[in-house]
Amino acid sequence: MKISLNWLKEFTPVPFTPRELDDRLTMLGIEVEKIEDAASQYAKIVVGEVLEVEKHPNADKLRLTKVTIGNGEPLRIVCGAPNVRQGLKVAVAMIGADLGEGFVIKKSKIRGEVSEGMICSERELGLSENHEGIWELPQEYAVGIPLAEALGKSDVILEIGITPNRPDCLSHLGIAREVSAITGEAVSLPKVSLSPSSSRSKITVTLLDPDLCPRYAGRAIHGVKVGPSPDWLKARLEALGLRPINNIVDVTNLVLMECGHPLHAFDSAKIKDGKVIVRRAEGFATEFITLDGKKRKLDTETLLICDSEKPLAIAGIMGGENSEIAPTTKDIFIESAYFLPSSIRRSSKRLGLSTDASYRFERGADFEILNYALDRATSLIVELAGGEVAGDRVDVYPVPAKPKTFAFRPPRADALLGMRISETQMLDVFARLHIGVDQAKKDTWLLTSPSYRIDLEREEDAIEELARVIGYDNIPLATFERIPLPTTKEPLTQRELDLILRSELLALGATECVSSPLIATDEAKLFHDVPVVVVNPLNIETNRMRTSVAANLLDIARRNERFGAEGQRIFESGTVFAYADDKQMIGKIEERREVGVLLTGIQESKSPYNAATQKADIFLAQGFAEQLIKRAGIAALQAIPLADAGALKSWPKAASFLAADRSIAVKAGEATLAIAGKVSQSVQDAYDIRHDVYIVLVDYDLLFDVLKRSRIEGKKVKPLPKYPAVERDLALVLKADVSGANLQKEIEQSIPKELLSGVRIFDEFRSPEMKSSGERSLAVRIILRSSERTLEEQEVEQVITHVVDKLSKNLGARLRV
Amino acid sequence: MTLVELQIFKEQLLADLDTISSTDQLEAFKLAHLTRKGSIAALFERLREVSKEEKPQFGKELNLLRQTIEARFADKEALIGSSSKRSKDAIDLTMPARPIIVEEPGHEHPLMRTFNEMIAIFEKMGFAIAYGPEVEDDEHNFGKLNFPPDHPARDMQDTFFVAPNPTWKIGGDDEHVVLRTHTSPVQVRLMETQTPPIRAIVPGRVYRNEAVSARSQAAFFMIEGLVVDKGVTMADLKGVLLSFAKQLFGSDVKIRLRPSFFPFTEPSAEVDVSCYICGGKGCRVCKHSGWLEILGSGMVHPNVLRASGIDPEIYSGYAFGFGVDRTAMMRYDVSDIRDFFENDLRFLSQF
Repeated sequence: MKISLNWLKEFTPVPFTPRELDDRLTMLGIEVEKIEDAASQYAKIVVGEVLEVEKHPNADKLRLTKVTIGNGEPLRIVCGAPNVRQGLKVAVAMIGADLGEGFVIKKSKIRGEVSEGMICSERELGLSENHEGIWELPQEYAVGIPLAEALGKSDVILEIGITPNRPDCLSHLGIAREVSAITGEAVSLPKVSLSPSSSRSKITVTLLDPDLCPRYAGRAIHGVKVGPSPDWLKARLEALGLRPINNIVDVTNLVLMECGHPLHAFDSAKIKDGKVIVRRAEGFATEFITLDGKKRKLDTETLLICDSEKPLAIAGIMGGENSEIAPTTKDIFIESAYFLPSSIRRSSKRLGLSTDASYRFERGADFEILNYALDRATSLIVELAGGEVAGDRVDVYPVPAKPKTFAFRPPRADALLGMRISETQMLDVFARLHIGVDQAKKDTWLLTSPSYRIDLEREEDAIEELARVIGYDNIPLATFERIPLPTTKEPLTQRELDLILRSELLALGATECVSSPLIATDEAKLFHDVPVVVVNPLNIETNRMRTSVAANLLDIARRNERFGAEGQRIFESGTVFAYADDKQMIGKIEERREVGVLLTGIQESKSPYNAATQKADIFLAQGFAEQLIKRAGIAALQAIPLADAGALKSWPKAASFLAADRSIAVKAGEATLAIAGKVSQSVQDAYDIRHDVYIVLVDYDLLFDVLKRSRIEGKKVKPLPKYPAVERDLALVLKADVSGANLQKEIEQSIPKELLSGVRIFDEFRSPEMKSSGERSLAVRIILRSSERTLEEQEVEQVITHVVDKLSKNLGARLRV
Repeated sequence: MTLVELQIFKEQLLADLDTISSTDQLEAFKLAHLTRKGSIAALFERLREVSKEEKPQFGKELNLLRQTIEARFADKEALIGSSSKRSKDAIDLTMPARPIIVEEPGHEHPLMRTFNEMIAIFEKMGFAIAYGPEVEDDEHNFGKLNFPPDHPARDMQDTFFVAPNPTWKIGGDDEHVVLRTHTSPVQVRLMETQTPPIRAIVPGRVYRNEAVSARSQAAFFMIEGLVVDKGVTMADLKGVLLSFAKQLFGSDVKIRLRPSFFPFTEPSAEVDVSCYICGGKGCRVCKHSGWLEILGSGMVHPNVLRASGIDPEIYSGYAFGFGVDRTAMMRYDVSDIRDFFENDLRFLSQF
């Protein structure tokens, strides 16, 4: 909302500079968003007239000018503009003028010639981007007057932001009351005098729905002459960003800006039978053309101002085309009413129509200012448009509102604010705010809020008023606060797991990404068949909730590939969403946390220690999955082909977004904690990524549960071994379709349990002969140890021979020689 | 041949692919459609019959068809494990994982770095950490936080609604659920389940239905704090926030509280920190005011306490909340918030 400082001063003294007023209002909770202060912005800039123009002796493009600014010797100014010429009226920045960004005009020499100021272009004055030449002012501007004055901008306009609880501040009167709370000076409204009328009004008002319109006042004026407003009125409205329309409408707008109460003027010739009926639309009208010419569908609950046969206005929101003030209008009826805020808000939302009037009514108007606003508008209209007041004011107010009162216990202020306030100080603040105080009971005062302060209804509100006026700056600063001591054992917190996973991923060379969970339908559907629908999305690209962080990671990978990234190792951790049947959920929406890692392109570059580059593959993806989970604290893991993992609750479409021959599941016992694999060709194509992409997805929630359980159960150390271990390596040739896991299992089963300490595959090799015969060689290290004795050479040989026999018999393996 | 026919043909092929469950069927499909004498190749032959004007469009659609079918075929092949494929590049998925070579450590996201730093500061000050759902009901996001229905205060937070179930229809009976517009609903959940003293922060993602611009993002991160106990005052709030500001921005900074309005607090205060770029003298970053607005705060409204079953006559509390993005922007001199969500590695590798 815009406030004119000059106008504000008509209500109450303002003993502050604009900057001070900004500070004081801000500290009172009235945010000043912008100050338009042309006078200080254009300080030392005046209207001048060019008397002479000569060539600059040392520069082709510069001219020497003499410019008069009224008094004293003409100024010598060097000017480079092509349009400078004798007789031109120009804006002259005198020495000391500040054009912003540290550009202050000084007396100077330009190519050897003295310059005592600057002739400005529009851009230099911040008025437009025009820098073609100097600004040519209208010839009627008087030489020597300040530019701001010549432009009619001697006022200061404050742009003010008002929070929704303070509709009383949405006017000059309202801001004046706040200023008076600071200064303690009185606030006065313009005096209104109405000459008594001889003619009688034929307008009657009936409230059919007093629950939505508890008070309705109005007055008829006969014989007005509709026409343009006088200049002072137009200027006042324009300064506040309002467009003048005609003298009747302009007066209602002026009164709105003045005291904050929305009025509406009807052409009373259009009010059938002179009957104004305030009622719900139900059973009366279903559509209506508002004065902006739009046909609006009406809800049954919408409150209307009607006559005996048709609607005339949507109450508190907008008038109708059928009764608007036209150039030919002679008789008018002015409405000044109070409408129920929630009703106006509902109708305004449903119609998608917000106006200056609805904005105020939905926040809460002042019951008691209706008649003043009406009288003020009446007297101005009679003054500006002629006409005669017809009859008395109509004021239908079946159940007058009672002033709001509430209890206030003075010590509570200290208890909430931590600040001592004396009772005298409290009484002073309440007086400045026109809050009534009844001290009949010493400990519990009874406060009465002014009718315009709809936000004051309880003790805490009054305490805020005290703090606000005394100043939040005066609230002391506590330096010590009691901390509740924890009394429960938390085996694992989400924060702890978050930090472990994050630091491990960073240590593994993965870069952290953050993206929006709002994504496109096509992408969301790649990971879940029925992604959660956003009902009112910003656009169709963001109308679903993400079903996996993979959706975001793939999008990121695509973009970075475009920017030339050779290899990417990135991760994102976040919430994913899907519909579920669990009634416990809000809606039927399940939220899961997921940690995703994406690997694509080169993962190991050539270096003095590495002869060849290595691209992302399934075993690297597997490494990430296992490493993360192990680092979190679960050591016993098993990786199996994804195809053998069965249906996965967390990733129902894993088989379609991952390629089965390049994907695994990582399990701890029965729980599938992660999946890792190559993104299927169709998904890779959907994202238009060139390189093969590998994805690791960790089921955070499940990992958290498993981990928490294992921590509760605890871990006990085993005694250290007393006897040495023996290692034997075997190089075996096997059919290529014998899997590593199979080999490992077979070896483990053929060694007595009490001697088995570990089995590890450490090499894979295929000679050309093996390739042609469909074979490969795997090298295995077997570690044996007894807890009771040092193993004898002979015993070890026996075990190993047995193992080789078993492998030969069961897997067709032979030793490589 | 028309474009519509082409579309129908494509859908038929995709449907056929879906029903395939053996290598034999896979081979048969390949023979019928994907070889040089297959149906798709035949379609390319027929491109000659298409009029000159339609040809580019047709060619494009046909290429798209071939790519789609080939990609889906490859997936199916991988799933079923066709013998031809397996012999060529089958791998043993039971082999041990590859050791991870790290050439340089990964980069922290600047937003998360700031977020984590802020959380750590509050942990140091003895705040517990609480989490809650991002999909919320109206009651927790608004109602119990003293936002009456049909109140303009709701305009302060533009809200995304999500369909509560997969069969939801516009105009149906089911109530919308919302994407939380702040993390305050978690505060309500805390107060509903715990008895004071309560002292916790709630970090997390929130959503606002605001057009994406250099200054605003529809999904962003917030941290809110809540303290409820006997005798908690606004002086405590001021003390904690000053300590936070000094730990985050530097020991020289000052804070300023000024009156404001939030439905869930009374009194309410907007909190500014003295500009740590210019030291409060005024600069471009603070728009020459010397102050930077960083958070909203206040004493928990008695209606909010009551709605969660806490007696405001016995207990009082304070609450505060702030977005992480704005602070991260100021710290790293990032002028467009969208840079944080692009995840351009050339940007991220600077952190």
